[in-house]
Amino acid sequence: MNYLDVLFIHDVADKVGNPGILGAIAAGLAMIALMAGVAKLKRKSLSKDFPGDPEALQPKYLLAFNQLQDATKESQGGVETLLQALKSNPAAYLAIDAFGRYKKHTIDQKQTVDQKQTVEKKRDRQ
Amino acid sequence: MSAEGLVNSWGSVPFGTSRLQVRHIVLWLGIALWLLPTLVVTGIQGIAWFAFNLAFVLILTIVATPFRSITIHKIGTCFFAGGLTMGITVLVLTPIMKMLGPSPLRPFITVPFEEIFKLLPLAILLWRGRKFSSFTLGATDLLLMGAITGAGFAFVEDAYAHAANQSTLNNLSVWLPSSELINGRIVSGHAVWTGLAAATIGLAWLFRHLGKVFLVVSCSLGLLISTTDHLALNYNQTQGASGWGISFFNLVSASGWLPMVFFVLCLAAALGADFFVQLRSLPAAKEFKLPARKGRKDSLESLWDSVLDLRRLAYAHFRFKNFEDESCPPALALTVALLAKRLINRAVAALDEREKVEAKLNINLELESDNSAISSQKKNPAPFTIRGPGEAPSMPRAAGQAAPPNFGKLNPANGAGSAAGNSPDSAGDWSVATQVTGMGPAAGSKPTADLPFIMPYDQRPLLDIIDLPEQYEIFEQVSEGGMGVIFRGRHKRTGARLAIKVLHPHLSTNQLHLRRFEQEARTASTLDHPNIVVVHDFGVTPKSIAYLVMEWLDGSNLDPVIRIGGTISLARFLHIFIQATNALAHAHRKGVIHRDIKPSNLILATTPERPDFVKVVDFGIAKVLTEESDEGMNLTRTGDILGSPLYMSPEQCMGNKMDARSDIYSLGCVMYQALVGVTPLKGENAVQLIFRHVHDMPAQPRTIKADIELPEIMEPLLFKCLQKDPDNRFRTMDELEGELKRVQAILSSMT
Repeated sequence: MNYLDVLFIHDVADKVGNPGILGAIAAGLAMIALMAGVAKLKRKSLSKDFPGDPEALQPKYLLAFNQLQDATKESQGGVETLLQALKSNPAAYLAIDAFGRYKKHTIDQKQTVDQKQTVEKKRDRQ
Repeated sequence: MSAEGLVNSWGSVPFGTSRLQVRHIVLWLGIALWLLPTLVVTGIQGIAWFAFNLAFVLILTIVATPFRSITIHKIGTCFFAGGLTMGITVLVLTPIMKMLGPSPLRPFITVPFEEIFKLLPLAILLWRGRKFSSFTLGATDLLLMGAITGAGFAFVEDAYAHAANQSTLNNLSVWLPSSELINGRIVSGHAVWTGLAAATIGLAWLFRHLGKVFLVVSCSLGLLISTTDHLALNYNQTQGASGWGISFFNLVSASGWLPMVFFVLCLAAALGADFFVQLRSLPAAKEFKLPARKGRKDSLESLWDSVLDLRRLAYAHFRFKNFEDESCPPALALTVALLAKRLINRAVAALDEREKVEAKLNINLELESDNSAISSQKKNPAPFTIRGPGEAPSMPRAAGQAAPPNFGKLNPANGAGSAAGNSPDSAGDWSVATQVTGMGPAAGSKPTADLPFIMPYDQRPLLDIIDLPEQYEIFEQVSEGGMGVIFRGRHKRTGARLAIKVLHPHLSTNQLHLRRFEQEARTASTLDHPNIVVVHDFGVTPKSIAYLVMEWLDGSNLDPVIRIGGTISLARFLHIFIQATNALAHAHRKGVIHRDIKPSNLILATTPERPDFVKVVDFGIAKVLTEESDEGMNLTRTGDILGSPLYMSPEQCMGNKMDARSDIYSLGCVMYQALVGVTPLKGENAVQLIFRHVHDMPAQPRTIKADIELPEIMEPLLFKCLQKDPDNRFRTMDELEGELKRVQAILSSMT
């Protein structure tokens, strides 16, 4: 440890004793305590598709997510036909349209991952 | 929602007879540690600075309230984050300042660092919310978050650097909160500087579809102006500042007026932009409007929560609609979907709440007027007639209903439906067979021991183990119910598209379920009607998997349409239910009673020529009147109550003899739900529902949905279907179809 390091540590120690720095640490504590109260659901207990943002971890959004999942699963012809059925209801149409876009992307992403894995497996075999 | 799924952050500690959350203790300890030492050390000056910043935060929050979508909780987080940022800044800058000594270069390093570092909490919150909450922010929200972070920063800095060091900045001449006039120069302060930088970022984030140039210019403009003014102030304060330097910086920052004017302009621009977005972004839908004061039954807290969600949706949707299909970030699409559905749920819940209040009012009114009338009406709801549009309605009230006994929730293990099915919100989700008295396998049913069968709880996907005859090709699973799974399939030779329904393997070992499955095939094959699904084949595979091959239908069933959308228009309602009644009338003429009419059994097949072409499906528990045989009895004598409790007729609930009028009651329940948005009767569990079907009349539709079309015709029609005594209902499905056609004629003559 050289002289400059000692000087710096001394500075830090000096400043930590300062009410301003103490206040900052306390403010940080308060901030963390506040942020910890945002999520109302445990992330681990939810599907991976559900957004991980603590602000989304609310029962009201989870209910909506599950209902949208069920509705799109139950539609025999997929989202497109469900959209046809909902065209006279703009609110429901918007919800299903947006969810359909999300699902389409998720499926595409999974397919891409599967394709990559297949290619990797082939390479490994070779 | 299981209790394990809920968060209890940091646990709790006992406090007297109750418990205190550790998180709350830490929060208050943090607040106390932050404020008290600073205020004690700095005295009146610290208190003045605290009040100074707090006043600014309060005024800004009030100004932003008509447009903000962030909660007070988040505002508090930003305030504390500002305080923490200041502490970190001091720690980082102290060695640098020490190293530089009294060099005039000091402010050129420390000021930009401070200005950028103050935006760090904002950046962290945006990054943290990149999958949801960041899309729901308006420009005002970001301005507010930035300004409040700056205020938190300023309080600590002021206490540390200004108040404690008796800085000249404490010669307050307050002109506007978070600004002061010193020697003719206006000093904006951290809240204004960071607020300005955040506001331009907020505008850029909202209008990012305008292009990268706008994004870069807008993001950097606020930061540039703030930094220049801050630099001018600090440079002028340092000993090394020379005459021309002071003049130069004063000129560039217009003696501090530039950031102040820009801040006010940005605030106006953010408020204006958010106003525009909230006014124009969302499609016109009743779910996206706040209910009139008269209709509000939710608490103020719940209402405010809905208001915030409505704004969040407006901001997210504004971003969403500016993307092409392919380029839209999936997280943004999901955010829009979740918020839209949440608001639909809120609208439906508001309907439910009105229904409850109406029912209570009716009970009180009836009790006051005539107690005896109540009991007689409970037993025999009065019949009524359908009148023309100009005539006065004659309506039996949904009143005087005794509270059903609370039998508690049925144990799913006893076959009373899934946990989800016990919720009245999941209307129609109760399993097809709800055993009330059954314990385990239904009595009279034996495992098919002499048949080879796959293990009932084989964990492999059904698609992997199914051994269908070779002429059928099976693709992906399209839906799953309590009885079986439906796959998309194809006939290899003809190429015909098929829906292949497969009985769950664990049910395939049960004779009763197998026979019901077979009956579905046999019953449907006796019916030849365009609105009834065509069943092509039935069989059991070598692995004992029962399957049913049906025509493929492109479309959705009515259940998600009602559940997602709430209600349907009267014209569409008539179009759908005239077809359904026609199909069921055909079945009744052939001696088949469906016995499980529910929204999910009405498929709305869609073709370009024929939208909403109804197909009635699932004759699994249908009763063939002409074959009143042992077979038919065996399928119902096990103590099972067959059907979906939300839609079951009183005679079905009681296990009495049923005829075609039972289907009229069930269809009436579905029609009521499609038109009103809620099921006619609700209960905490299947037993309560059954009790209500036997004793209670539903609420008058107009009391739940005020804007119902042609109420004077539709209400009597619905209530005639829903009479407890089958003799008081429509006599036949043809009669009901005739009434619906009459309403259709009236409606078309009106339009």
